[in-house]
Amino acid sequence: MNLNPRLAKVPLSHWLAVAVVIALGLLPISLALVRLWAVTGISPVSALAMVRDQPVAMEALRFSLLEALASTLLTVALGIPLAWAFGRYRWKRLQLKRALLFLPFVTPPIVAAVGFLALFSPDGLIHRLGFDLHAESGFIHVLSERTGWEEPGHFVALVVAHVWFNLSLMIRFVEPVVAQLDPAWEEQLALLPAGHALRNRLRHFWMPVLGPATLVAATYTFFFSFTSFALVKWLAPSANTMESLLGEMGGTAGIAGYRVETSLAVLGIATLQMLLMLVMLVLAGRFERQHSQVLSMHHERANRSRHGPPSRRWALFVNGTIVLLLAPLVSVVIASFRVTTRSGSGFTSSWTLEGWKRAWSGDLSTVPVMEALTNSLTYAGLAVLVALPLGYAVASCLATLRLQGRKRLAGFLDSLCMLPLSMSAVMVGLGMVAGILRWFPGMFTFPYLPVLPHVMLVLPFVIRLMVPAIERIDPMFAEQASLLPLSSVAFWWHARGSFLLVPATMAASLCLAFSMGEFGATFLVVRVGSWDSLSILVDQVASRPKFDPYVFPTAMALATILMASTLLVLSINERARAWRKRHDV
Amino acid sequence: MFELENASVRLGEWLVFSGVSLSVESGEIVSILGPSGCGKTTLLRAMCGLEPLEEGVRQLDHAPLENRTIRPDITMLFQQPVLYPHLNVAQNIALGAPTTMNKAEINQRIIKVLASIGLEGFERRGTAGLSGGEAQRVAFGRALMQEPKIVLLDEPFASVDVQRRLELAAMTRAHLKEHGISAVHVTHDRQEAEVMADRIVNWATLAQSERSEERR
Amino acid sequence: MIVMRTLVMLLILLVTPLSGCLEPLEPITADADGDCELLKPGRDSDGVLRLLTYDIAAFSENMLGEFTKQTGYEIELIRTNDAGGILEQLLQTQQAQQADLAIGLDNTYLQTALNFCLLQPHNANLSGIAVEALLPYDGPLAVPFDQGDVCLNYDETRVDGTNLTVPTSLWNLTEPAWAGQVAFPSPVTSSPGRAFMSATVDYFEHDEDEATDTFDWWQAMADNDAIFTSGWTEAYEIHYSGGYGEWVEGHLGDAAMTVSYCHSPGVEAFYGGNWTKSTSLTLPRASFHQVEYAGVINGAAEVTAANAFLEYLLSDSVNRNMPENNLMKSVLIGATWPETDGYAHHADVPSLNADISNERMADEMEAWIVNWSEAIQ
Repeated sequence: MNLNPRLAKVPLSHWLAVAVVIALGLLPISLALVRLWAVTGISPVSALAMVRDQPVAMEALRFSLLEALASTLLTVALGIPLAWAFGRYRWKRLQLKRALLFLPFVTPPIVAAVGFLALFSPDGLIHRLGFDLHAESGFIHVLSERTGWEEPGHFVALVVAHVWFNLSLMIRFVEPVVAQLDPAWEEQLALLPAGHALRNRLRHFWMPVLGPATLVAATYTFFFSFTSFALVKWLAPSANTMESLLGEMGGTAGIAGYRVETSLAVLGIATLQMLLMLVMLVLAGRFERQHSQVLSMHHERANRSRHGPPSRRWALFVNGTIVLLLAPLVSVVIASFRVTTRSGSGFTSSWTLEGWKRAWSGDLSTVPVMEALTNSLTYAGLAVLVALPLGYAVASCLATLRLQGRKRLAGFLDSLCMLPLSMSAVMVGLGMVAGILRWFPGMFTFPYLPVLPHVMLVLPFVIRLMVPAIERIDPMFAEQASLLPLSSVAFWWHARGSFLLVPATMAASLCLAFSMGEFGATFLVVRVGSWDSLSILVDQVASRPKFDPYVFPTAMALATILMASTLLVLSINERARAWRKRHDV
Repeated sequence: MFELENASVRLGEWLVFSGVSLSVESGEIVSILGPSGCGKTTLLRAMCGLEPLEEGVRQLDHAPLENRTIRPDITMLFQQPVLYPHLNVAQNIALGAPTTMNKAEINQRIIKVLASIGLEGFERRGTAGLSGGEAQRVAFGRALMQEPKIVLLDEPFASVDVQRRLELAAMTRAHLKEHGISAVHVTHDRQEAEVMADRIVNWATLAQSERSEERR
Repeated sequence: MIVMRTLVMLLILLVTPLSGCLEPLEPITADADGDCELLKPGRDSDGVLRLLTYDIAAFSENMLGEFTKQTGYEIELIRTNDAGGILEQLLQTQQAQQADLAIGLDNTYLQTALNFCLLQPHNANLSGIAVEALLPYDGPLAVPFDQGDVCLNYDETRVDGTNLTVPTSLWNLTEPAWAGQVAFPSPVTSSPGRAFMSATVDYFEHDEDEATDTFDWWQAMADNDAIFTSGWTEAYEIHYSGGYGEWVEGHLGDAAMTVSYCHSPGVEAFYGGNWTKSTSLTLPRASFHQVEYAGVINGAAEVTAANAFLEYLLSDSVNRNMPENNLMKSVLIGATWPETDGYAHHADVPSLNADISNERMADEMEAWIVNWSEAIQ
């Protein structure tokens, strides 16, 4: 079949969108690197070579690799049985459970950070499970004694938090493979000698089947753990990952004649981090291509009915995990109503509404909560308005190029558009501070500046969602539409637009959740301006000296407001998506 | 009224057919009989402009048509009826309405069309629950809305059971004749062709393709 | 083909702004006489006074609302993380200043700000300000608004003469008994940390041992497992066992001593119902008199409003409340710590503060920080 002429060409507007997206991804960080080069007189490559001589940077690299590796291994170890059980059996309230399993991924990182802090407190649930950060009791004490590791508590806390965040990736990638697997595969194996022992079934069947999906999830887990910022800042404050180091130093960088050694360090670390992340991305892309080779697609509902409800053990495991996943979020809410005060040489904890009162009334040292919330919602809304059309235009361009047979060009442009993925949130923030703001100081008065880094960070995901959605549309719909007396707009809507409502809604959800919770890039940007979001406000309040015992409950109350508003925005979007899916719109 | 002269179509490396000539008079229904996979569908696609002609010309009412031009006068029913899942039955049919019609006229016309194809009361039905025959009738109703000069039917009853097939064929012929619409109908079923057509043409005589050589 | 040509053109358009950017934009600095040109305002005047400050708790809604009532100027705050952030923001936006009044630069940062022409002369009346607050700087470009003495604090229940004895010299802290017991905020990122490091420069220049300097001491401290944190908060809350950190989530309490203010035990008592186990180590020259300044920004749009706010900041009703509102001492003549809940009683007084001039800090701070960073590796 030859390509339908009405969809065969890439319109100029889509080419422009591609150019804009590439520029948006490359320009800020390029400007920042050039600025740092100019200020230090040293090229990024030379600065990279000098990182080896910077003990703080090397320590941060070592810590980043260690904690990311530990987080990945633990996530995979827990995530595979979780995804397997969840994908295999017939669960009651499946959609609700799936949403709850995905909840950590869309929780603002600062909410997760303070939630885990509350959990690890002497009053907290995790402390009672044996996670004593002081290593004086429980599992951490045993670990410390056996290994000689002096204070493993913070490291363990960080790894646990990362596992919490990234289990949803395992569900996202691995569960569908299990759920849609053709039962004939397993049945055949059961009839063969190789399928009698569990070990053989794991080796010959489950590992090859789940391997690609697991690798993709593991790579992304490593990636997100490596570039973690808010969690490291709060749960392991004595340690630095490369990301948190960049976050600390980035605001000072790029000023000629001032703290030039900091600019040099930032240049080297940023270059190193970009290279490492590029490698991770290439790996993730390769694994994703393997994973996308469909093994077999069987009807999920039929499969689940075949396997029936889960055993008690599996039910306990999955349901228990879901409860534990909710624990930090619940602890945020509870901690907002608790205050620990000192009386004499002891402490008393009591219930209070004072935290909420202060959160609501605020003070002029910080932005009032409603203003911060309005800022967050505005940034999120604008990010969606910008990222969706841009992302669609780029996705449409790439899909059309592939249909035209110009796969190489499509692949090249795709890689360029995905480049922002190789930059962490803090690096994007660095691009804004040392790049855009330094070269275009007028942007300081632009009230919606944080939208720019949010759009940069979320565009690759929008494109990733839209491209397969466009490629899945049966070309017959376009052909039929071209034979009907339709205007251009009507033609586009019926042949393509209506089919993209669901993926567009999903992309909007992602944009909204991401923007509401974004921390790293905004943290760097607000160092030099007043674009406070609710995420930043939580961090600012929680960072205050806690002479005043109401500081922490106030921060928790703000975190609760952030969490609730993020979930509300998401749920509205999810309902719309579910409605559209039900009505096949 | 519609003429195809010395047409050939190539898909990639494969010459599907060459030297095909066909003429259809005003109000005439022609059935082309041939086995599956011989190129009948490609012929129809070339006739309506969805595929470019490598050689040959198309003419409508003695006026030559540019290669690949799609005209509202020429429409096609695909083998699998293409109904838009986000629209109900009435809305799908309304897509065929000429741009000169106003809303009231369109609504009136839809009711008439639904009645004539035996689907009264189906206006607000979603397309997901329709049977193969019902779906193809909706697609046909949409074609009727368009008031084309010629309709190209690509094995339109393939998804319908044998019993209903001939009924639908007869119904379709009746509608086409009532509205004076020409049609080219391709099928591998001789009975169906005999019910539908004024004239039956064998694909083997129509097309002298080297496709089997080309395929290898 | 047209696509490639368009892409190339777009790339050229993108790269063009980068041309010439290998020349750094030179910041504006003071001339040989220390004078600066007055810069154009970075934004249009709109009757809104923008204060550039870190998270100063002194500015209550009432306090700022009262200013608005008296003068008619609305106030907006631009907040940075800390005093260093204020300087960085001013430097980053030197060509297009967004704020009008910088509040919170201390005397470890002030001279750098003056060298980079970041402030312009003010109109404030300094006659009511105590001499000690004017000692580090009494020129026309910055107004002191609070002060405090940075020194080491220790946990009396641990430094009790049995487990650990009270040091009589900073070198005592390098002994094995003190291994891993002292937490220092980094001078790179913390202004109390920077203040304390400056004090140690003076301390070791005046001690008996002429063969060693402050960086030898810092190296010895690092070898003795001293804890280094990025900020005061982390050192005090997470590591120091003598303060309120005990009830803070994530607290470790491994350090018996940390850098804070000599009056911090007073603040502990104020919040702790007249009780604290923290006290200050008041060795001569091991403390630093920190003064925080407010200054009209060079390039400000609302200069009149900024000067009005300076007057307000120095007024009795505002400045005398610094101890309760901002946990620092007022700069006004006769100001004392409040008696409430043992604040004054537990606030320690340094025996002798380090003597380091602002000019010296401006000249040598960068080198000190580099040396310090190398010493603690």
